[in-house]
Order: sequence, then structure tokens, then C-alpha cells
Amino acid sequence: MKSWKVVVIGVVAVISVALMIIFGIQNAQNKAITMEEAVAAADSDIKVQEKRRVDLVYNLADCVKQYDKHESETLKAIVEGRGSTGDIENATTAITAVAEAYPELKSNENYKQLMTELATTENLMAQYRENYNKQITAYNRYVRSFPARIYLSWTGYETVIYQRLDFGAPVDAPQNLFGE
Amino acid sequence: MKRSWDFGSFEITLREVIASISIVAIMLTIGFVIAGKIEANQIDKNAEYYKAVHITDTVMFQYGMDTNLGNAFVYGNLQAVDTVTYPEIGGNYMYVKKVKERYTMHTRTVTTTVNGKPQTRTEVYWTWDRVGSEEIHSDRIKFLNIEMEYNKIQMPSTNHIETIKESSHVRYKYYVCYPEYTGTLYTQLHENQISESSPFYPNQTIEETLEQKTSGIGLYIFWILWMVLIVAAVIGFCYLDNRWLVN
Repeated sequence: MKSWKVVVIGVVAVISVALMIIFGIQNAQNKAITMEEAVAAADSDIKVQEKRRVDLVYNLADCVKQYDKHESETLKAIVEGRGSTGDIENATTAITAVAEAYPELKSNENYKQLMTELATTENLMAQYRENYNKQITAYNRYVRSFPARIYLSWTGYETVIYQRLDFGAPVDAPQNLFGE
Repeated sequence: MKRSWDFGSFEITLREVIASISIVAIMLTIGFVIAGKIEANQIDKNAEYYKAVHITDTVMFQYGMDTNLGNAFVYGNLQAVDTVTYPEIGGNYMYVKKVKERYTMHTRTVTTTVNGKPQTRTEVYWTWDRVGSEEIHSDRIKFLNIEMEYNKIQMPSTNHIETIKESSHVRYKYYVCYPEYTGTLYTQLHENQISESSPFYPNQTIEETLEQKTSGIGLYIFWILWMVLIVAAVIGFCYLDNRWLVN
């Protein structure tokens, strides 16, 4: 009568241990998949940032150039106004018109903003690339180390080969923005 | 084959040992599932920290807020714009907490064994007990030369600077945050401001803060607590009579 209880306790123990082993091994595979996804997300993030950089920086550079041009014309108009045969009235009119159209001369500010944007964007790019490399390092370390290496081979998991980024500037990196 | 082990106050049977193996295995299985979730969350959080911009100058800090730059580690000086203090302690501080303590009598029952007989007596002891507190803080603070509201940044832990006795039974303890710190702020830059209650790490560089935040300590803590729980569950189980296992 008592022996069936021993059998039940033994069977429950065996099933529990088997479940533990299955979940333990599967957990190793889940972790590898999560890390793989993190690498893929990091790669995608870099591409998004590269696109943002190209769009933003060229547009910003265009704005700065346009403003630069306007300001240059404004200054020319002022100089011409001053130099026009001593006609004070014309000069005053020109300067007033300029002052009304361009209440503030701020090419310098635009350049500063562009420089800040460039610094910020490059800072952001550097962090995103570093994130990518760190995710790859973590993944490689995990899939090659014991005991995960053994568990993963049991589950038939195929290790992905990732290459870390080299830091050569890509060809589409914004350069020579003012195209002179 | 030995079927039980006697530990004085309780006895462990072979059946209890086998059942304990099941408990350990089930608990470990649940542990693997929870740990997997913690690890996945940690990997996501690490990516968030790694991608955060590193800022060390005012212009970039302001620009980041103006352009909704997102997560950032910002290194710089945290200063109080208007300092506060209590007249009795003087000085200038960003935050002061005044804790009132009263010297209070307590009693406890102590049982000792004298000549093999238990004897119970009531003991009297005195302790300083906290009975109330009040606090004052700056209205405005500056971080990296940009002014903001006090509650935008979580203040560093306080320092006890003074204890003033009002009488033999009442005293006040003063805890303060100094008017200036240097350290790293982890925050989100958006809508021309930083996020509410951003954590500040005094005397830490950006690299040190990043290392601390990505250390993965949460998983170690989980496994330690989980192991303690498993051991407690097994001991608790063995301590029970468990007659149902035998009868």
C-alpha cells in the first residue's frame, strides 16, 4: 500500500528534475535569442541615426547657407546705401528697410547652432556604434562560454557570426557641407 | 538502506528528501523563467544606457533639451540658486531635514535560566525615538549652469551635521545636502526640460555611472534571494510532520 506513494514521489521528482533541465537549457537559448535581437536592434538604430544625420545636417547646412546669403546681401545693401553719393535719405531708407526685413543679423548664431548639432549628432552616432559593439561583445562572450556553449549545441541553436564596426567614416558621412 | 535521519528536534525521512528534490527542481524551474525575464529587461535597459548621449557642456545640454534629444548622461555641477538653513545651525544648504527625537523608556520581558529553572523578569531600557521631522529646501537649482526647479533632480543622500539638545529628553538631529555637488545626471531631454526626479550620482564620472547602471546586479540579487527562498522552503517542508508521505 505504501509502495505506490514511493513510486509517485519518485516519479514527481524525476519529472520535476527533467522539467528543470529542459527549462534551464531553453533559458540559455532564449537568452541567446534576446541578445541576437538586441544586436539587430542596435544595427537598425545606427542606420536610423545615419539617415537622420544626412537629412538633418544637409538641411541645416542649406538653411545656414541661405541665411548667410541674405545677410551678405543685407550688408552689401547697407554699404551701397551709405556710399550712394552722400544721399543720406536713401541710405537711411535702405538701412531701415534692411532693419525691418532682418531685425537681427545672426549668421554667427546659425553657425554656432550648426556646430552644436554636428557635435551632438556625432556624439549620438558614437554612442549608437558603441552600443552595437557592446551588444556583439556580450553576445559573442555568451555563446562561446561554458556552459551556454554546450546547452546551445544541444538545442541545435546556430551561432550567428557578427563583425564589430570599424570606425572608418562611411562614404555618405556629411562632408564639405558648404560645397565651395 | 537508511530510511531516516534524526536531527534531535526533527527527523528527515528518505521520502522527504525525495520530495525536497522535487521542491528544489520546481523552484529552480520557476527561477529560470523569472531570471530570463529579468535578463531580457536588463539587455533592453543596457541598450538604452549605452545609446544615451554623453554631455559635458552647457551649450549641448541646452540644445539637447531644445531638440528633444532623448536619454543623456550629463556631467557637471549641481548648485543651489537660493540656499536654506535653520538659524540654530547656520550655514547654507540645498536641503535640510530636522528630526525630533525623544528619549523614551521601554520595557521588555527577559527569560533566563538559573539553576536549571527559567526565570522571567521585566527589564527597563531607554532609546532615542524619532517623533517627528520637518524639512526645507531650495526653490531653484542649477545644473551645468541651467536653472530649473528643485524637484527636477533627485538629491544625493543627506549628511548628518549636527545634534542639538533641547532638554535632557528632547533633541534635534540635522541632515543636509550641501549647496554644491559635482557628478553625473541620467535624464531624458525633452520639451525644453529634463525629466522629473532625474537620478543624480555625486562624485561619479559618466563612465563610472554607466558601469554602475549596466552592472547587472539585479540578477545576482534575484538569484541570492531565490536561493534563500528555496533553502527556506526545503527546511520548512522537512520541519513539518509530513505524515501523509508515510501513511
